[in-house]
Amino acid sequence: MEALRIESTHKTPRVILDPENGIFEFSGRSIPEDALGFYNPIFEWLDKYAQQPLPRTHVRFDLEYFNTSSSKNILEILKRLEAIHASGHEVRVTWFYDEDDEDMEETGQDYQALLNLPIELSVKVQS
Amino acid sequence: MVASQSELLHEPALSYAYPLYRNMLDNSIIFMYHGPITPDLVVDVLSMVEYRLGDAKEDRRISKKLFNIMVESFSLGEDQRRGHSVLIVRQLPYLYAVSIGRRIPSGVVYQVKAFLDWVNTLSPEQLREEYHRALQTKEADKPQGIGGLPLISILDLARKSHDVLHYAFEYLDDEDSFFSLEARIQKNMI
Repeated sequence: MEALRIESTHKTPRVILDPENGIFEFSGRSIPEDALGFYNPIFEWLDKYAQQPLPRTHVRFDLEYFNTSSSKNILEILKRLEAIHASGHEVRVTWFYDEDDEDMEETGQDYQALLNLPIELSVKVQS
Repeated sequence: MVASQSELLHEPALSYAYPLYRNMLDNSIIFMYHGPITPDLVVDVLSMVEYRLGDAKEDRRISKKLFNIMVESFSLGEDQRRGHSVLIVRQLPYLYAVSIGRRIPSGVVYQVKAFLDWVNTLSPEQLREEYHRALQTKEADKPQGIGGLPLISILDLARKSHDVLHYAFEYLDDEDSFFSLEARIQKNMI
């Protein structure tokens, strides 16, 4: 299975889904014009990955800001990861947030509450 | 030909400029946009407001909150039907306010008002529950909310602002009304 790599734009995040190392990353902004159009290829890729996932998958979300339309799609991604985790393959999610961004922290807490998936909230280290 | 001082003072073509400037000053408006709202615009608008905040040396927690509220306000301003909306940012000593104004069908005004009145009665915990419920509703089940307004965005704004949402409706004609919604960020709440 090939990796999925999408470069970031000023309104869509950088996405790296690496099936060889089980490392997935989402970083940047997510305010796409057509959120479903942007996230659909990611859903399709994850559905294929779910058929033969690695024993361990680590997913990092490091987002700057996003709208509620993207929040719904991120929830759909996390639901797919939750299903992989429930099938006995370890999935660990790290949700990064800026220490000054209580909304981003709260969004991570929302996903923790809605899903049966280990989601660790982690303060970004300022460079 | 040189215009007289009197002609310069009463140039009718520019009669809007001073009232607009005065209005912006009186209402502490630091940014105003009128036109179609698209995601392409968001980044540019945030940069401009960031520039204005730089002048005020605003606390990062407050500026983050303001940006998050602006990003969601854009979702409410996207008017597929009519195109043009307004986005206004006000800066007062004790608060910031982000408002969005757009046309909505006159037929849905009471529904929108009832929804906003209900949202304004919810406690933070209830808002959280309602937001979670809306988050789990698939777009296909409820594509546009009421009259093109995504209701999850209203819940999100209420939640993020930690304050009641202020709103107004202006009847234009049987087809359209102008809807304004303001989310306030009280600096002492952040």
